[in-house]
Amino acid sequence: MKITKKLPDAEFKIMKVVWENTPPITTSIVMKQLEEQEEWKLQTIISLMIRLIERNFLRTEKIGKERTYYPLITKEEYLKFETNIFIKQYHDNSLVSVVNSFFDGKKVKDSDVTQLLDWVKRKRV
Amino acid sequence: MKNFITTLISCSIYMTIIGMIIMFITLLIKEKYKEKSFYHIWILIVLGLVIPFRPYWGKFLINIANNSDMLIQLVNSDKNYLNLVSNTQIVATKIYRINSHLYLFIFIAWLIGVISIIFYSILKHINFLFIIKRWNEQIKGKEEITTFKNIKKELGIKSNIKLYMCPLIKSPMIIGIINSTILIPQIEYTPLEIALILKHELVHFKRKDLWVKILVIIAIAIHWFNPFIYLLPSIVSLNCELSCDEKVLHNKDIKVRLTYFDALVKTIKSQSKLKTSLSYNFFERRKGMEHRLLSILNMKQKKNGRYIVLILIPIVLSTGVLVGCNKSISTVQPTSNTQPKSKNQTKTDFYSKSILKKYKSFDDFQKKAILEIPYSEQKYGTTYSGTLKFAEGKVINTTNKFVATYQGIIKIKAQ
Repeated sequence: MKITKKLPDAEFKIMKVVWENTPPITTSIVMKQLEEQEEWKLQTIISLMIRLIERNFLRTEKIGKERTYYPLITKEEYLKFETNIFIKQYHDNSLVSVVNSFFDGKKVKDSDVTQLLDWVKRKRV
Repeated sequence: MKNFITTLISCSIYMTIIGMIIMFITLLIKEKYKEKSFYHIWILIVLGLVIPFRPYWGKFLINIANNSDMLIQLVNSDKNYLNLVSNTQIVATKIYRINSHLYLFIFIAWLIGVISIIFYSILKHINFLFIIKRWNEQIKGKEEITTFKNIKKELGIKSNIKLYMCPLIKSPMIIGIINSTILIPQIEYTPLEIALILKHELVHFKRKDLWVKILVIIAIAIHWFNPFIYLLPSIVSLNCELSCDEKVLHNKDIKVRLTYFDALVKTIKSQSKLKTSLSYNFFERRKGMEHRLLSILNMKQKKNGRYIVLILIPIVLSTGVLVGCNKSISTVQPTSNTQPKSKNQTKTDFYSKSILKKYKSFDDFQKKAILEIPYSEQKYGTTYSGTLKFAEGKVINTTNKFVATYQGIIKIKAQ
């Protein structure tokens, strides 16, 4: 499944809980874990999870009375997707950002890095 | 308006030249002096780019509306015309700048550039913070939190600084001027490496390096028309990191340095996996990286270049003052008394060079005379002198470029 769109904040919060727990996930687990941060009603959580199913982020099963949810997209997959967007936005940005990075890799070419690492290897021997 | 624009451009050019000279000098002496001194020099340059406009902003804006009268007394030493001239008072009223539409247009274009760059930077940063915040995770290892507290104590930092793990970023960083937060990426650093990285970021915090970044953005916004200004962030950034490395590794042995070296190489490696667009760089980035890695391992004692910075302060600041003067011309004020004291007054600061003999009557003089009035103006400890040329009651020419924008309406009346 290909991810095409960035998740809105609320849905992202649900997914974070889903990823942190081992499936199957129930709405009560989500509710309990978000209790401290959000004052969401059960209905809100259910509708957010339905939206995530529509987005193909979750799938649902009904065992007996309880409805369970399973992630279709792993955290790593989604992280990769967002990282790419993030890089495009911030690493190709010619202007300065108010950030002090340990190493600012903006606009560093891959070939430069490989050459540098070769250089490091030679230096250390 | 014209003065403002010429000021801006001359400041830009002046600072570019100084910057280039410094880059050249840096190449020659970088081995001998501490990185800290070079960083301070660049901060000075950034200040030089930003400051000249600040003290004069208000003045400049007021000046547009402030049209003072100018009184020029003409006294000719020639006896034949002394009477005529001493009874003549040239009153130049309402001296104002030529509000040339062209200059106004340039000014507005410049202002739009400044505002858009600042707004763009702010929006981008807010967006950046939001994206980052979504992914922030609490640091799980208790060990890291204890090291963090210890380093804070060691550096004497009492402020509350948050520490998070953020899988989205590829390099450790410190963000936020008010709510400072240190973010650590998902890279397998050893505990010793983490300690050095945390120290690096906390040194940034202590030195208030983020403020320097903000100044760099302001400098870019002001000088956006100068293509060289876009080199400034990478130069300042590299110098900032080099001096920060230097501070962290001060008096450290080769073992610690190698750990630091490894931490940096790990960070660089993690970024190499990212696909970034190919973009041409004026500076070879690789050279910067190599320079940084080499200086980490360099244990030679370096000289404290404090006096270089001290020498540069007047150089950079003098530009600021000079540039400031050009801009804030109000009106030409004669230094002498404007009222004739006696008929025999022969010496004044302002006199007419025109040969008044040529004219039959005062009316004729008023119509045809071209008056060349040398004047001098003292401002900010500098004397500006030049010649104002009047014809038919209007300034037609001046030898002083600083008053080129004056238009005078001159009333000549016989008393």
